[in-house]
Amino acid sequence: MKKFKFAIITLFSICCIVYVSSCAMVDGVQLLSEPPGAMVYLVPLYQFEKDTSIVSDDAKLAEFQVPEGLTPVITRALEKRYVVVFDLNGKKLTTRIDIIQGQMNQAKVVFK
Amino acid sequence: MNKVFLALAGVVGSIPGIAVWQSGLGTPPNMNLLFGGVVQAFGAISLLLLWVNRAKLKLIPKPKMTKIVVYLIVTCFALLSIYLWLFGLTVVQHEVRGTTYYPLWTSGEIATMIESADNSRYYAIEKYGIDAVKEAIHKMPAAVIAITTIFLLFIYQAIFSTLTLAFGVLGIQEKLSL
Repeated sequence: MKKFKFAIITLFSICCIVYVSSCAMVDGVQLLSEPPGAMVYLVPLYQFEKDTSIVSDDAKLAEFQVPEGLTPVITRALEKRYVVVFDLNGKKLTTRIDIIQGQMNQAKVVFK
Repeated sequence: MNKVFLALAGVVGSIPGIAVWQSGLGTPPNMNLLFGGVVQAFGAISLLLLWVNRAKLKLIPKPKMTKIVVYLIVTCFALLSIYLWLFGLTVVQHEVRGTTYYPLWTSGEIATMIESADNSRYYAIEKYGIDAVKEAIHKMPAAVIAITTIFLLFIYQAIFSTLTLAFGVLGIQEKLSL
């Protein structure tokens, strides 16, 4: 009985360890605005759907800020659908981007 | 004829494990080694069980033995059907975005994602992206994925084990020792 328990626990542990799902970052995500110099935030679609007020709340947005700086900027991100928020001097514009490995990942807005 | 059955038992008992190991045929992502190894081990155990009990097996009347073999083949097919259904439920392949290994049942964030994607695991990947789905799955308790794997593994090895037993039993019945 002890050996049986040991076998079950071992198998269970192996199954836990073996499942390593890889989430690889996608390089070369281009975020552009016209005129340049906008702050960019990449909000995953799921987070946006949960709380749509996130776009107007700077404190909540801070978590999703693109660390590489202002537009035009090239960053890396996980393969997700995002709501991209561009903030130029307090004026905000949003668009969506679907990041997929091996494809051209670009989002661009024009402030009028 | 008995030699054919015994040869088939040997083939079914030993080859699939190595083939699964190499190709990952019908296994969840990154689990070909685990599944192949287990199939190989259970195939060997099945053959060993037949060899150890060969004297008793020879005494079983032919009609009863035929019945046992039919049961084993039907069981094998039933298990294969169940496995294919479970595989389709848990291993979801998206042509562009890749493959995701879902647990048998979902809760929390991943359940919400599936619900908002018309209750489709495939469309959840399409709607939110593969990494968003993988992250949400990882937020579930690790035991859920482990239980899913153990369940799939049990059925997967049983498909090959029952087939090995069916061929082996037929071979032994022809009064040829292993």
